[in-house]
Amino acid sequence: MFNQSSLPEPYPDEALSSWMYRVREILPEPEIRALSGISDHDRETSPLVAPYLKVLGGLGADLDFRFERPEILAFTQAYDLSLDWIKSVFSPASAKTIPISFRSDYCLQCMEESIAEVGFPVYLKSWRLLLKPFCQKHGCVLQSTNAYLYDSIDFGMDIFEHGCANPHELERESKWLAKDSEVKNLSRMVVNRIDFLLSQAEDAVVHDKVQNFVMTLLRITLMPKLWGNYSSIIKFTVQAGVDFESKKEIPMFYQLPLRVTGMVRARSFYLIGLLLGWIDEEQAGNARPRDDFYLATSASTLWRLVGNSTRIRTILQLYSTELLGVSMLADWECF
Amino acid sequence: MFKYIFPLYWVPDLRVRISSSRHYAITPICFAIDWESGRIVSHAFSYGLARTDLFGLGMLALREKRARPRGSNHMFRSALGDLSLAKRKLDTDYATLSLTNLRRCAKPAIYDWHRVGVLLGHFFYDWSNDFMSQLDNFRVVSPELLIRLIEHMVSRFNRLIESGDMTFKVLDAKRTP
Repeated sequence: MFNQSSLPEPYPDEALSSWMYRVREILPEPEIRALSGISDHDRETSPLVAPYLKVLGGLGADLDFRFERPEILAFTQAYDLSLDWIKSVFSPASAKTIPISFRSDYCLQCMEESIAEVGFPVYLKSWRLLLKPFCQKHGCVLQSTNAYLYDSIDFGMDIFEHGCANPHELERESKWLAKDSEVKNLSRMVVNRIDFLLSQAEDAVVHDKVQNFVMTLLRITLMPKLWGNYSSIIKFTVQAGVDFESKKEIPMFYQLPLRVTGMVRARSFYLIGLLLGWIDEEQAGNARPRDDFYLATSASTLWRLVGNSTRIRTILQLYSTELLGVSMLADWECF
Repeated sequence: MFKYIFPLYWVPDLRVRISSSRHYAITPICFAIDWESGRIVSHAFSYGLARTDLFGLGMLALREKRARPRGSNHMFRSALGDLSLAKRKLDTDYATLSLTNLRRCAKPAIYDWHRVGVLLGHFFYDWSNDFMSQLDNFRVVSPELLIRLIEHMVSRFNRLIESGDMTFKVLDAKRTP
């Protein structure tokens, strides 16, 4: 029998799926113990495979945040854990999260540190927060894997191995980030300022409205009209198959923020900073890379490109509060 | 009692998986709106019925709800029509107001229907984490998920109208000379 004190401590900010995987690796259940002792060929034909898969959960199931999933209930029973304890340790707070089908972001440095500490590349739950494209510990933009690994039961281990096996992908991202470093610094300032505003919202309704106001700005900054020469944004969408890709403008408006990589979301926060007047034209001009001629450096340029859209006006007005609202948007009256 | 109820049609771009068919249906939705308050009092959708029939269906659902408040409200909310018609291409994500079923009457208010359509679209596509975790596809949903989406959309829309946080009235006809 297992009990909580015999299990490994969850790593700070660790996602539930990552911890479940670690626990099973260290203290496997009988089905897993039996399977680990046989060859790959025998494993394929073994009658134990079905229960093994049942224990580990179906592919694509969100084992990070969906605590009522049968796989999680089975895990709590097998290891004699309370579901309340699981919720208290692994809940993501009231934040917008990236759906399991699009999870791809990670911080390589964090993974290396967790290997040194606990012997595993731990997967962190904050990497699934939609409005946080920067690592909470190191401040760097989260890297993204474009491999089809999102539904892997040992996602942390898989993306780490994939990253190590494909150093050219890491190099390509690093080059983009180095080129854009000043812009990303401004983006980080915007993300931190939004975080502070959200922490100031004591009322849950106001908190939700501020969050939705920022979400709407994020959606606006990802509209194709604002891509400019950043049409290479397409290269940075998360690969999750045609079933997830709508071609229509309105569904795209809502779904694109979920599908783009951390790098693209980080850049959007720079544009949000312009719209909110938190970044002035001089700062923006100084930060813009020399060859990025089409990167907007003023809110008026962005509003001009968006055009007079009733949709955007209506939704922004819907979520306006005293903490964050349309009256605070730069050049809003020109829109 | 409602004095004037009229239909607003809206067609989502999402397709609906029909178990009896290998095809995906396009499902126009009819919202029955009380002209006085601006609230959605009933709604209906179908797989292949003519759009104008949807209003009748929505009104039947409303009568059923009033006659049996504790009964099932889903009885008349959707109907299976000619499935081949449910595959026709339509203008999606666009609200259309129809006045064909209205009596000639003085309207108590005039609304900005374009903005109403924008809000309906927003409430339809702005999915919660909980809803998204149940999706296995972003372009096709099951009939059950569509019902949940529409009910969620109607509830958010009516809550907004009741809160008074946003109004779509551009003119109060009673006050105009």
